[in-house]
Amino acid sequence: MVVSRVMSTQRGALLSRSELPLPVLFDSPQAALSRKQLPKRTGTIAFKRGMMSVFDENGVRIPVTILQIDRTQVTYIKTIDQHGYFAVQLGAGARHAKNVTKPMLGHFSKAGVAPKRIVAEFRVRDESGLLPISHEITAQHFKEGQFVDIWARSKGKGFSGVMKRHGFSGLPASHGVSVSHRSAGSTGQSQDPGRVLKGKKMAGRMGGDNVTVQNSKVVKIYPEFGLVLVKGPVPGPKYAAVSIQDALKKPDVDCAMETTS
Amino acid sequence: IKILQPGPSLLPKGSEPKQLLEEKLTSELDPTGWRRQLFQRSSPLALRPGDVVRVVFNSETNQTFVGTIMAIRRRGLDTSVRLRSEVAQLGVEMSVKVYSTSVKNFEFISRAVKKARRAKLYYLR
Repeated sequence: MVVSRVMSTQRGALLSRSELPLPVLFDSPQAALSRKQLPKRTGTIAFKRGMMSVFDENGVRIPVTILQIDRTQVTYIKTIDQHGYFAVQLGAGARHAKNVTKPMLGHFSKAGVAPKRIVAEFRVRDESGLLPISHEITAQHFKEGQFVDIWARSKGKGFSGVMKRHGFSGLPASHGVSVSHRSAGSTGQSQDPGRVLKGKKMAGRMGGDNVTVQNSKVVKIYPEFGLVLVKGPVPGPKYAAVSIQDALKKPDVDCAMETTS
Repeated sequence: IKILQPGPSLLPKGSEPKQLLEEKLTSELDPTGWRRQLFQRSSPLALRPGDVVRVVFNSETNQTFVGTIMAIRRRGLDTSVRLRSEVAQLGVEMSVKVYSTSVKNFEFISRAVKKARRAKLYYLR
C-alpha cells in the first residue's frame, strides 16, 4: 500500500513502511560496536628486553620487565566509514628492504616510513584516539604509575605432558606403580558414557598462544633510551614483540598524545 | 617504490638495556660507592663470609641488626647478604638487599677468626 506523496510531505507523519527508519538491531555490527569496551588511546608495540629489579623510595624491591619502544610509527588508520571500526596500525623496529616483500614496501612507502619489523593494529574507541600517519610513538606515550594491558605470544613448550600442561598430580613414585608416574590416570567413566568426553585434558602442544596480562603497572620510563619498565612478568621470550595498551579495567589515562615529535 | 632509510635506534649499537640501566641505577643508588667497596670481591674493604657486621636501617629509630655473614649473593643490583645471629638463644637469620634504599649503612665489627673454607656458611645452622 503506497501513501500519496503529497499527503506525506504536508503532514510529515504518514510515511510508508519502506520509508520508516529501522531500529538498530541488537545483533548488528553498529550495536555491537557501541557496547564494546575499548581504550581511548592507541597502544604501542614494544620489544621485551629482559627483567631486572628496581627499588622504590621505601626500599621495596620491584621486579620489572624492560620493554623497548623502537622506532614505532603509525602506518595506517582504520575508520568506521571504510573499515567498520576505529584502529591505528603501527609499525615497529627496522628491517632491511631486501628482506621485505614488495607489497609491504609499497605499504610503508605510502605511509612515509622506513620498512618495519613488526606491524600491528590497536583498536580505539573513536576518532579522538586516531593519530596522523607516520606519527612516532615514544616511551613518553605512557605515564609512570599508570596501568597497562600487555599481550604477546607466550613461549612455546612443545609437546608437553599432562602434569606440566594441566597441573595433574601424576601417580605415586613407588608402591607398585608401573611405568606411569607422570600419566593422567583414568580418562573417564565406564559403560556410560562409554567414550572419552570432548575437551578431556590430555598431553599436547603447550605454549605459543596469545596471552594477555592485565593491569601491569608502569614503574619507570626512560625516554632517552625508549625504555618502559613494567612491574612483573610479560608473556613471550626475550627480544619478542609485545603489544601494550592502556588497561581496559582502569580509568582512562589523561596523557596528551600529540606532544611527542 | 620510494624506500626510506630507518632512523637510528635510541639504544647505542651493541648495548643491552639491562646493562645500561644497571649502571645508571647503581650510580644513583650508590653515589659514593661504599656498597660497591664492601661487596665487590676485588675491593680492599670487601666483606667476607664469617665477618660480623651491623646493618643500620633507614627507619625513624635507626633499627639495627648485628650478625655473622653467612652468604653473599652477588647479582649486581640484586646483591643480598644473609646474616645470622643468636637473639635470646633463638637463631635469627636475615637477608638484606644491599642496594635497597631502606639500608642506611653496613658497619664492619670484626673479621672472621679463621678464614672460612667456603663461600656459603649454611653449616652454622
